[in-house]
Amino acid sequence: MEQFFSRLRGPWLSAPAALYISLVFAVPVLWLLGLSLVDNGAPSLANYERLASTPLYMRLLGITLKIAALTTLFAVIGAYPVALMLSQVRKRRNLLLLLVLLPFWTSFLVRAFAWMVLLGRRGAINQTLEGAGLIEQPLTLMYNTTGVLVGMSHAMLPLAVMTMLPVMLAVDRRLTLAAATLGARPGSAFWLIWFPLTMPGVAAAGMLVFVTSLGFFITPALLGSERDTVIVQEIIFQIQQQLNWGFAGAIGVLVLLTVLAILSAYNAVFGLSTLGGGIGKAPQKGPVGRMASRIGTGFLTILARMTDAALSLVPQRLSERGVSHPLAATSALILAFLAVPTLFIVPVAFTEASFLSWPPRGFSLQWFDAVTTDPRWIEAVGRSLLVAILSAGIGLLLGVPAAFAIARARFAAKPAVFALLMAPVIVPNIFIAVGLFYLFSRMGLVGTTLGLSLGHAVLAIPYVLVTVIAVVRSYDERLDLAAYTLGASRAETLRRITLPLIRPGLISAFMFAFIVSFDELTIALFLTGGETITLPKKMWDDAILQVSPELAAASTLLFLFMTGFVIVAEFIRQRAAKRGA
Amino acid sequence: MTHPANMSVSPPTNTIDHSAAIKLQVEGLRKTYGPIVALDSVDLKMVEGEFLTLLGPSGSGKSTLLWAVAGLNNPDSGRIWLDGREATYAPPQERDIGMVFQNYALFPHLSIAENVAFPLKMRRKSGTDIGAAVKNALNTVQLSHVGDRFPAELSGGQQQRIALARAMVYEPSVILMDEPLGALDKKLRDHLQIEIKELHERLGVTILYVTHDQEEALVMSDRICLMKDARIEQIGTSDEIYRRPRTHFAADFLGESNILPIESDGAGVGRLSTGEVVRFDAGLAPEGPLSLMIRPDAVRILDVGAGSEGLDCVMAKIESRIMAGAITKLFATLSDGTRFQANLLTGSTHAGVAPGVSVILGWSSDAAVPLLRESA
Ligand SMILES: Nc1ncnc2c1ncn2[C@@H]1O[C@H](COP(=O)(O)OP(=O)(O)OP(=O)(O)O)[C@@H](O)[C@H]1O
Ligand SMILES: [Mg+2]
Repeated sequence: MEQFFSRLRGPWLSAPAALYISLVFAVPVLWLLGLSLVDNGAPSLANYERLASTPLYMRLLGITLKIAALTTLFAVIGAYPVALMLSQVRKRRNLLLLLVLLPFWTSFLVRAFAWMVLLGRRGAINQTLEGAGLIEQPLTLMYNTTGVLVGMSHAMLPLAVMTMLPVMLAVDRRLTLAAATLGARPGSAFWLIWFPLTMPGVAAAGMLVFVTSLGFFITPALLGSERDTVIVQEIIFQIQQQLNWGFAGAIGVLVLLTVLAILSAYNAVFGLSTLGGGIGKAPQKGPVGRMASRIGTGFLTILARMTDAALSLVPQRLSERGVSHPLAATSALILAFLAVPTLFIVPVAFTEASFLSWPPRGFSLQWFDAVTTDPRWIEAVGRSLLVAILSAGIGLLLGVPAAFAIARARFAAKPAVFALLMAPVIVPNIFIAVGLFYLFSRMGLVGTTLGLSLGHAVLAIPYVLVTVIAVVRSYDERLDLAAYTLGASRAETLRRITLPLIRPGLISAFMFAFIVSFDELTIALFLTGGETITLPKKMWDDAILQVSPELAAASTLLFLFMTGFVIVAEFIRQRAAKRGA
Repeated sequence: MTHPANMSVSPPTNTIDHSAAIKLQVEGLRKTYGPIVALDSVDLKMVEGEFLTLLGPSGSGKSTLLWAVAGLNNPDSGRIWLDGREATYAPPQERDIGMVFQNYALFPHLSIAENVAFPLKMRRKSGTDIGAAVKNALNTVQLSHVGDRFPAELSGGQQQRIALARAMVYEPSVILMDEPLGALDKKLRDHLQIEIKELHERLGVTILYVTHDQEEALVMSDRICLMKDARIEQIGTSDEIYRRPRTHFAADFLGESNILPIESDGAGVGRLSTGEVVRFDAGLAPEGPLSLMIRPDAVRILDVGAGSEGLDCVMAKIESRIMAGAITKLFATLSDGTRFQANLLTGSTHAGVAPGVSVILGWSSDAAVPLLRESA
């Protein structure tokens, strides 16, 4: 009997989360996509015929793919030196990491506004260049593809860094030293040994950035022109303006198929298992992988020779491991690109003028007064906090047991359950939003705090899952066994040994889920209504009309709050980690 | 009479050939990591074709010295010459050395053949030359069949041999090995020790080897460099260090020892704390208070009544007796309670030599080494 229970126990821990995701996310989304196959109550391919026959939609998909591809290129190229530098420093890594994490946690909206302050016709860059007499006409930096790409690369860079870093940290540093003793010059050691070994990180970062970019519409909507409309915006348009659910579903299927195609291409070459960080032990040996690696090796050999030739112009002297000057300078520039723009939003919030201008005119606190006394802002902040706490709580409640099941139990359905629980972060948010809207509108949950919290919990679960799995995996299970031998029951062991030791991980997971919800816009766009409005939704509504100093003031406050939150949370986590160690 | 070809393994030569060229010279080398001194005024010379082992406890600076020779760290001061050319700050790829890292450092994304070919590719050798050399190197380590596999698909011992092949395929004139057998089980280690030794004899390459296993050092080396606390404690042939250690540490680290304080006038005669008189070579004695070191295996039991046969002797009472295969260890106390150990051949040890029995133990005065006394 005892054995029967313990056998059931593990896998079943993932059941509540799996059930929740199925009911609140998978079923509505599939139902919705199914609508695309129905026309006037009868099965029909009419939606797909329309999709195929109208050039507009293929053009939108083309624009989306182009923006995503270029964003990926810039983000990955920019992230590589930063991740490389972070993997080489020791003492100051946590501090430098914060420079990447802060922009990562700063609201996408705030960052988009910051770029509007910088890139506008009368923005900081144009004003500075004009003031210096370098240009006569203001440059068009915004409301075009350039603006979108700058904003998107900026938004995705931290994600790329965070994905690459674990892979780089896992590469054995002595391999490049070994290469040097075998006669490899620095260029060869880098391109032929280090770079291929970090390739899984680059690929994983590229894949994640690309897929995330495909579903991203905030930055294109704010920084782009009509010509930079992405396909997700068309889905929103079809649902909100045309009420054409079937056609929206057809577009959705097109986007999903694109995502799936990319995922399977990635899987063919690198294997999806590499996504979790860490390098695959033996390289993949599929035919595609072999081909790619042969071509790659030739290309890298050329790069290596060119680098070595260039380096041979400078006298070679033995240098200890550490960050080289060019690398330090490059990553400093990129870190500045990440961190500095957001700061531009702060001074414009103190302007006396009633419109955004650079440089800000005079000094006044009126816009902060306006924000902090306006009941609509206060209401929005309150709602956002409540929703974030509720959804993070639900996420922990369902996600933590699931993480234990995935990390510890063995069951046949594990990969499927894991894929299901992770689907909300792979599939663009718009699908979650539309599916929830479809479901909740039937249940009267649209426009309620509960509905929003339940919706954000869908997103919270995968974040909690990943964070907690990592902690549970690194947890030495023999400690539990030791507790049992000392006479502790299962419950006591969990309460007194396991949970205290994984507390830093739980704190990270909560923080993760909290911020994801606090910053979430897409789901909020569909699930808020009338009085119930969240902070990002309120900012978005204002921004559609005009990016005003009031919005800058709100953004500044949000930025300060988030920075404080991240730093405090990190402090608490580190203290908990120290006590655990 | 003809020598069979497979008799080519000659016993290690225990003397350095002074006519051979100096291959590696290290002078006054110092390296610190922040407050930690990892190497302090280290001097070392190796001749062409020599097998020298760095031996010492953990943290004594062996790896640091090896890494400095390889060009993998930046010494604070001192100089390194390779083949008479100064190389203190030359980058590793310009040193013509081969290095076998402790955990092999095989490139996980390259096949075994590609791993071995790597140094040749770096030297821009032609494709056919590379193919032949790789095949030859893999044959040498008896792993010609694994060329297409990846490192993760080999056992520890096989990976070790590949690391060896990769460090030798380009015929560097010096090979550095950092505890290459550290991670292997005893049997495989014994086997590979012989293989490495054979390769050394066959190729005539100079090898600087690191280990903290004293037996391994004794078996393999022409000379041993004993390290302690970032400094070289003593350099010499295995025989020299075993028979003529210069400090308590050297005596203790290489094998078992009896170390007895003596009072001496400096003329080669001393008195033990028990009052018994012992002799030693006055030429070896350092200035200051002395101890006498006698290896347990230099000690014999003398028959009561027979003469001392010219040996120095002490009265001892046997406390315990341990049979360890070919050797039987006797743990005894002298008349004032000082502990004393004798290792005898099991086959020639009388069963009557048992705990409680008093015996006379003797040794040749050649086997007694005077050391500067250290308060233990
Ligand atoms: N990169 C480093 N940073 C700081 N200290 C170091 C570093 N490398 C070595 N040390 C220190 O230098 C001293 C010598 O280390 P080294 O690695 O040379 O010892 P070792 O003799 O090889 O020991 P082992 O037998 O354990 O390998 C040690 O005290 C070690 O802690
Ligand atoms: Mg070492």
